[in-house]
Amino acid sequence: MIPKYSRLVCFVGLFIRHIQSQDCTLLNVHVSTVTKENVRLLSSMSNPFPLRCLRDIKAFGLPQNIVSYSQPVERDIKEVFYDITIQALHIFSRHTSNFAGKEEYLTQIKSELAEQREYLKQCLKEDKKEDKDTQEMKTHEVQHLEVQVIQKSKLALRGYFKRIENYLKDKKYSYCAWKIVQAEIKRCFVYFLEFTKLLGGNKVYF
Amino acid sequence: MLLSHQAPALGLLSLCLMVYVSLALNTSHNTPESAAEKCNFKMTFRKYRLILSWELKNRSVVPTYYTFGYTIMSKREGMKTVENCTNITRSFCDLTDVWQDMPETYIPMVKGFRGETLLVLCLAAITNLDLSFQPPDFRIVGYADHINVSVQFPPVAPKIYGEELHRHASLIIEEHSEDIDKRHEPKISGSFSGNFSYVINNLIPNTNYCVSVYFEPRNSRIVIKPPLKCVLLQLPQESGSSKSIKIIVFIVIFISVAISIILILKQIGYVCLHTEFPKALIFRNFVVQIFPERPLSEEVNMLEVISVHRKKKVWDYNYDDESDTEDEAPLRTNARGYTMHGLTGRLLSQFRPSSASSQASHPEDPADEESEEPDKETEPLFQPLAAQGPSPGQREGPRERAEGLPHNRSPKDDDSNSTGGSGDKITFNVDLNSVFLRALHDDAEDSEEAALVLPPQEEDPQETESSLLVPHGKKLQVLFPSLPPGCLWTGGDLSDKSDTTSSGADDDVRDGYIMR
Repeated sequence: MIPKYSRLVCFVGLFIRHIQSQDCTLLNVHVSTVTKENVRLLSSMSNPFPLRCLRDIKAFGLPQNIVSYSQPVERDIKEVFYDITIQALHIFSRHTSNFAGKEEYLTQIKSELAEQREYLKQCLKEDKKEDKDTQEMKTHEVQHLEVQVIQKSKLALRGYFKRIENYLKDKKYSYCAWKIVQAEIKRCFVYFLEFTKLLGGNKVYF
Repeated sequence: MLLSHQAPALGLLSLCLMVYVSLALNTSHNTPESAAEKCNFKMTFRKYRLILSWELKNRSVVPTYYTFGYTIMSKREGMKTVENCTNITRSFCDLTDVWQDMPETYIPMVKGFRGETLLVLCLAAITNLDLSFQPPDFRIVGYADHINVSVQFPPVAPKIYGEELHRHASLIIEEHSEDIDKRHEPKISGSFSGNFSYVINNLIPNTNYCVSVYFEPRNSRIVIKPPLKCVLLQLPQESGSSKSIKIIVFIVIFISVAISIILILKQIGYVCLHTEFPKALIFRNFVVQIFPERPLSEEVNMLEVISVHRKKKVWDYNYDDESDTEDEAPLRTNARGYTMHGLTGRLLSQFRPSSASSQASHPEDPADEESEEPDKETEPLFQPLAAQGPSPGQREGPRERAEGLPHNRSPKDDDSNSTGGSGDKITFNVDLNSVFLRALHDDAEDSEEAALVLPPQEEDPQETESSLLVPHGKKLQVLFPSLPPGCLWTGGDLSDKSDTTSSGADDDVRDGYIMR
């Protein structure tokens, strides 16, 4: 009995890493599915929009140029999605007493974002290991350029979400502030949803 | 004192008034918000137009006209009005060329009035993910094994949020049958404009298929499917005739192949085909059997054979002429050794049909004829009894003579002959070997009896010839194989007119005579 189970465990253990690595091959599907679900939940909470909240509308300056170059690298997109996931989860996890929506919807959104965060984190680790093998093939200049692009994208996104967080603080996490933040984050998800297709090698319609 | 007692009442009253006023103000302040919660907005791509429609939750409130405006979330801009959607009675607004930024969040505002009174105020935050696509108009035409699906697009490709339709949604064609559901996503090059046709192939005839055509958004889960359109695939009526043609062609090919195989086998020699059909397959025989032909009429002459006992004259190798009466046939012999005797007879009657009585022997040629054609003398001896008219070998002479009835020189016969006699006498020799007895229809029994009942031969010392069964040529026929050799006509002298009594009976058969 025991030897049989041990063999089975060893057999699964040998292939579990391969299974996990295969999971990252479906990254575009996973991210797209999670993003669409979050957008649906946020849409259900955005309407109706209160008239009084019209005065609290603010332009947060979504960074649309971070993936506008001609040939976006797949790993850069992964990095972008990873940052977006972390920042959105950070926003939805603080001062949600006046959250403009159902509590269960908020819980579901945080759960989806947490799961996506771990998933992207695992995939990025695997990419780093693969990059070490091919790093010697790249020139120093190419590596420096790629790092700059990634850093620029990360800074832009962090600044965008920082403005959202500051807005909430200024509005004291009011109902209207949450309404506007919900709509803005939904807009961010919709914008970057198009880039999930790049994860699978598909074209993106701008 | 009066004022001191009224001060608490006045304070209480002012407090109530303040509460009432504040409540009234809050209510009036919240009216737009509450009114905004009473609308349901719906963003739809309908007939290739971007249509925003609204519906009041409280249907008891019916405004007389609406005013539509919108703003963008990311821009601190005031409300923008839409020209075609101001003071409208309909509850929708066409924003195809108005909203052109896809990632933006638009905030539409709808005000409902009855006269000058604002009854309802509705706001929403709408993105392209809230967009639903109405299915396009399509037609299906069913054939034997395929369906032609036609989708009608507008002449000019519409734009949604400033982009082509195919960037927002895919055209999906679903095929449903009893057991199979298939999904087709045709690749459309360019934009959705003009009429689009798609053929669903490899379908099963005589099967009911249902088709559905709709748009599937790329970023939204809102899918609107139309009612199914069904068609029963039937074979065209012309296929029946084509089937019959196919059957005919197959039969022709089969027959040709069979014939070719038979011919090949014949060439090889495996099959031998008879050129002559067996008698059973001759149709004429069938006809003859069904409708038996009446036998040809035969010229049958009735002959009365008169036996004349004559002494057989033996030739003494004397070539001197011997006296001979004209009635007496010259005693002669032929090469075969026969002793020829003549018989005189007289034709009783001449019958055309073959129902004659038993016949006598075939007449022999007389001597005069013998000299001319000695070879032919043999033939009459071996010819059948019933002369069927003139045979090729016969001449008119014998026929003429055959017409005459062999006349019995006996007085009895003479008497009988004299009754009809015209004086015509026919003399001929009869070779009993060549005598055929043919069973006639009427006298069949008699003829048979005559054939069978033959007395034994009486020995005659002067008989020089004991056998008539002499094979001669090819026409030898053993007429009476059962007859003893003695049953021969020894004959007598024709000149002797007397007829012995021993052979007087006409019906007796003695000494080889066939007596009548």
